[in-house]
Amino acid sequence: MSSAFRLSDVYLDTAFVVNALFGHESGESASARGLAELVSSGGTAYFSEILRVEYFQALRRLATRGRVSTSTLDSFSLQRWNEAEVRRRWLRLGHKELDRFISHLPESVEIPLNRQIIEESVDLMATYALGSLDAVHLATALHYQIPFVWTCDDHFERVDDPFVEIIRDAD
Amino acid sequence: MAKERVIKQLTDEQRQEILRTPGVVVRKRDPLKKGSEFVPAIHVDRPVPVRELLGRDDDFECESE
Repeated sequence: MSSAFRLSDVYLDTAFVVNALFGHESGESASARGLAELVSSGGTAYFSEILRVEYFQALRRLATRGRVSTSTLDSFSLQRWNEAEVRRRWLRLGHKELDRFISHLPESVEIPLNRQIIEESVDLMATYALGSLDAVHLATALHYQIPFVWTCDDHFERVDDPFVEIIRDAD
Repeated sequence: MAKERVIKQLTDEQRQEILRTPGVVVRKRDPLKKGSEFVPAIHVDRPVPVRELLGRDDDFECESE
């Protein structure tokens, strides 16, 4: 990537953020590298508030599907997921981790969901056969004309728009 | 991220429109914070399929009866 390129305004969907946070043990996922680029460029990251809702669902699945490392599983007693205190401690960690991620961004702009974006997302569901949450992300970025969308979700290949950039890890 | 890109950014007017939207929250990084790498605190043993975590099922085609 050209060092002369200054990355200014990028929309991050939840798949990108989840991949940056949980994609790899080493934290060397393609999205983590993209994030480093955004930070060094001093750019602005935009995201929809629905990211938070999706993020906590991903965090829950990470625990309940045994996707974390053994040391994390043990240190948070995730084998005892049926206990409220175990769940609370895990989700609290996740909350801090998301806040830490957001505070790592040079500048972030969290955009609320509104009726107009929902209506536009329904159109995008029809046009590109997207799921509703995928469509909300795309509608938010399009509505505010944010120049780039970074996602790790291959479903966005259906979107015939050059500003959507799918960030992939090497095979 | 290897593909060529043209330089694009929001105009000041577009940016102000976003910032004027009710409920928008803007946060800025602590200028004293150093380093561009984010080191995750939650560790996974192997790459985790993001769609699985998000529960985004691939339902591009309808299931036949």
